Amino acid sequence: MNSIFEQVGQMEADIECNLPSELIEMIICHFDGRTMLQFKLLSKRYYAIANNACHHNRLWKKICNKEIPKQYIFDLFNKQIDKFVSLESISEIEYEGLYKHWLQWQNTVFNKMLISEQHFLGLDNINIIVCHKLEVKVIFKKHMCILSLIEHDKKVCMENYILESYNPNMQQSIMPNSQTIINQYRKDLQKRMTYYRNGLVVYTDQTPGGNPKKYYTVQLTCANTNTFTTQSWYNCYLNLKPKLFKRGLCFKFRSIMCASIEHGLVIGRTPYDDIIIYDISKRYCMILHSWLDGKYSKATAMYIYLNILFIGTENGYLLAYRLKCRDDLLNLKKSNILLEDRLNIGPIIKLDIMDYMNIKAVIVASSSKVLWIKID
Amino acid sequence: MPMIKLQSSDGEVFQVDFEIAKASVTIKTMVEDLGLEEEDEEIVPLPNVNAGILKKVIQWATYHKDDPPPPEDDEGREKRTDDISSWDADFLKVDQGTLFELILAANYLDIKGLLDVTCKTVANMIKGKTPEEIRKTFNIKNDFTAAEEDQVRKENEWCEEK
Repeated sequence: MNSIFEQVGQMEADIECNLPSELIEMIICHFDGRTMLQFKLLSKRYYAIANNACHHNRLWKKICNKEIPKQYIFDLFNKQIDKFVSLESISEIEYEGLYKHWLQWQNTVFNKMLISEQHFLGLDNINIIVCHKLEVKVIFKKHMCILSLIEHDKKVCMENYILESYNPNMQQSIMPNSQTIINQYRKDLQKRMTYYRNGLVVYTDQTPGGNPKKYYTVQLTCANTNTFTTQSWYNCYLNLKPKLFKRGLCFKFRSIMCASIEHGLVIGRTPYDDIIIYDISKRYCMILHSWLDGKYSKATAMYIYLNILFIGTENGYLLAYRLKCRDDLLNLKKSNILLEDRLNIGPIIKLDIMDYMNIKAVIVASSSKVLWIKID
Repeated sequence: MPMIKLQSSDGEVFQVDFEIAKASVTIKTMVEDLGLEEEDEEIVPLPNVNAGILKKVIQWATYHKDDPPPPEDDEGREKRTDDISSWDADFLKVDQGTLFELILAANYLDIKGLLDVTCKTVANMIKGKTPEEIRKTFNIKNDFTAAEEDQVRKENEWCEEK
C-alpha cells in the first residue's frame, strides 16, 4: 500500500506533466541568478519558460539589483552600456549579460594572456587611457589614439577580433610604432574638452537632445591635485547634483592615482609619498606609510573595478587584489591576491579594464607602451 | 459565526468558517455571485481539489486567518526566499506531489499567500542543485541535442565554478 502511494507520488512529482507554464514562471520569480542560469539548462521547454518569465517580470534587473552591490552595477554599466542611455531602457538581455560578467569576475583565479603590445616611442608620454566597450583611447598631451577590437566574422571570440588599426592580413607583420593617430588634439578634442592642464583631462559631454543645463555629464578620466569632478553619465538619471570637490581635505594629495565616485574613493599620494585614501562619502583621509610589499616597489597606477583593486607598480608588477571589505583596501593581504605578474615595460603609469562581451582584459600603460592582457 | 460548506472533487464536504474560506478569492467570489446567505444549506463544489489537499489548504488558511492582506502590487517589493516562517516550512514538509498539488490548488482557489510560499519552497528545492540533479528530482527529460546543450552551456560558462 505504502509503495503504491510512493509510486503515485513519484509520478505526480513530474512538474512537466503537472504544472502549467504560468505556475512554473511563478516559481522562477523566486530564483537567484545562479539558479536561473542552471534552470535554463534543463530542457528546451524550461529554457523558453525561463526566458519568458525573465522578460515579462524583468527578473534579471531584479536579480542584479538584489545580488550585486550598487556601486559594482555602475562599474559594469560603465564598461558595457552605451553612454547616455536611460537606466529604464537597459534590456533584460543586457542585465543578464551584466550578471554573468559579475559572476565571472568573482572567479578566484585569473589566467592571463597577452593580446597585443603597442609601442609609442618617439611620442609624448602617455597621459591617460580610457577604456569603453572594446575601445581604448590612449591620450597624449597633444593627440589621441584609439585602439579597438572589432568583431570579425560575426563571431564572438578572441581569435576573431582584430585590432582596428591594422589590416587583418598584416597581423604577422605588425610594426612597432604603427599606431593610427585618429584625433589631433586641436581639431576634435577641443569641443569636448573643458579642462586640460598639466596633462590632466576632464571631459564634458552634453547629452544629445537633452536639456544641457539639467542633463549633462562629466566623465572623470583624471584629476587635478586639488580639484576633481567625479561624475559619471548615469548620475544625471539618478538626479544627483554634480559634486565638485575643491580643496577641503584634498590639499594632502600630491597626485591622484585613482578616483571613483561609484566606490566613493580617491587614492593618491601625499607630498611625502605616502599613500592617501580619501573616502568621499565619509569625508575622511587615511594616510598609509607602508602599503605594498617591498618587492613590488611602490604603486604607480591603480584601478578599482567591482571588488577588485588593480595595481601597477614602479618596477612593472601588475597586481590584483580582491577587496572583500573596506579594510582589505587598507591592509593588502597576500591571501587576496588574484593576479601577480611582472611585466617588462618599466613603471606602469595607467591601468584600465576592458569588460565587454567575452573579452576581459587589463590595459596596462607605461610612458610609451600599452599592453592588453586578457584575463579569464 | 457564519459557516460555509466546501465539497472536494472526491465528494467529501468540509464545513469551514466563512472568514477563513474568504482567504480564497475564488470561493469569496463564488459565494458573492451565488448570493449565498448565512445558514444556507448550499454546498460550494471545488471540482479541482481533492479532499487531502483541501484539508491542507483549510489548515493553512486557518493558521493564517489573522494575517494582514497581502499587498496588491508586488512591484518593487523584494522577492525573498528565505523568509518562510517556521510554521509554513513545517507545514510544507510534504512529498513533491503534494507540494505541486498545493500549488495548483492555491492557484485555482486564488490564495496569494499560499501560492507564494509554495512557489518559494519549490524554488528553494531547486537552488544549489546541478541541472542533472534538478532533472532527476523533477523527472525532466533533457531534450537538448548535444550541440544545443553546448550552446546554452557556452552562454552560461561563466557561472560554472572553475
